Amino acid sequence: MNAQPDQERLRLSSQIRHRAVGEEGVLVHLANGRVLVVNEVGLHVVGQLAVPRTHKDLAASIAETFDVSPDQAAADLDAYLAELDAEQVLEHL
Amino acid sequence: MSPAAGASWGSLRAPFTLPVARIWFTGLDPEQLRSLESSYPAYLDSSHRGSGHGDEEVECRALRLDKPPGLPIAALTRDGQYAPHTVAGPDSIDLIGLNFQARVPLYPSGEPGWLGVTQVHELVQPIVIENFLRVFSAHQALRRGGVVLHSAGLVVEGRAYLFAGRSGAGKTTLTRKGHAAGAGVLSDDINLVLPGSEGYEAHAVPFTGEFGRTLAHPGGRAAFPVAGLVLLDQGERLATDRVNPSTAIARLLAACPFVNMEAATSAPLFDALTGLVAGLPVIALRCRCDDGFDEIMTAVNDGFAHERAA
Repeated sequence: MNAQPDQERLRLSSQIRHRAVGEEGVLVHLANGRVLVVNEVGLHVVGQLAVPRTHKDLAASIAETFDVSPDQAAADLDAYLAELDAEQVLEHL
Repeated sequence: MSPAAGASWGSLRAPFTLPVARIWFTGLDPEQLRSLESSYPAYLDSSHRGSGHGDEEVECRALRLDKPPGLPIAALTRDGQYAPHTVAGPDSIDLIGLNFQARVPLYPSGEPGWLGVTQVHELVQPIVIENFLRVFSAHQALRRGGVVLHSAGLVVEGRAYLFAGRSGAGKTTLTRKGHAAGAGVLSDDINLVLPGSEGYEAHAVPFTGEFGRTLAHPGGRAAFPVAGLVLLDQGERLATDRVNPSTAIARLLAACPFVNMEAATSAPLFDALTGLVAGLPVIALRCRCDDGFDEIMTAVNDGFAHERAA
């Protein structure tokens, strides 16, 4: 997935409910019934998306929380957002 | 949707005792009562006595609809299977099926529920009454920290083994093998699990899949301690795998019909499944059509033992 424009904000879809299970997370989409498991980083991203965030905000949060380089954080984030988008987990604002 | 003021079919009533509550079907005509008695003899309790979880009572009125609901088939299909249309309310769930409408009460202290059909004999058709009973049981189970689970429920040496999986995973095939090998059958389609005094218990329920009701169990009062949960898949060879809690909860959540796509039930469902996964061994099982039941159970019990020791 290409890097998001700086102005675009993302938020967790109102159809998503989730629960942390250990260091991972379980998500369920109430409209389509899909159930997902996300790892620690994915759980962090899902938690951050409780309120609208920009791609830049999310990448900075990952870099700080997981002590990784900004480039690595951005790359990880792109992958996670692509997966979440494919599962209709995100709302683009 | 409110034909609750519609005419009843008759003046008869019958108590239908489920593990989660007793439903008093009222407004029945003699044909409907006879059908209930012949189809579900183990669940009709003529004596008015409590039965633990069945102490709570609700009323369901049998109503005469003027015309069928008229929803298109597409609106009654989910994942290629028939699924009544549901509308969740604060105190009830409205169901619309091919040939019935219903209001399933969520709380015993609330308004009575109702089940409406246009033809007298339709009321006790499994595709009508069991849809009502399944939705009712799923919500009541959740109120008690339990779940209704798409699963094959087999009883071996007094303990229940629940094999969860979606349609096509092999639940009915496994049930046939188990029955042939002498295992008790709770259901090959949907099973009810509730917290008990010493762990979790699986309860006999009147819902079946292709296998039909074969267990001569004493209706809603039969309960068996659950040995563990098995996530069932078809595979190239017989094998069990450990499952981490998040995967276990995700797989089980997907196997909890009627409540896994409702906002109001999401949190209690997560709570119930978290408790189940913490309290019971959960393993994944891959097996083939020609694997024998004894070999399957040996693998399962070994898997449970490894899980408990971990």
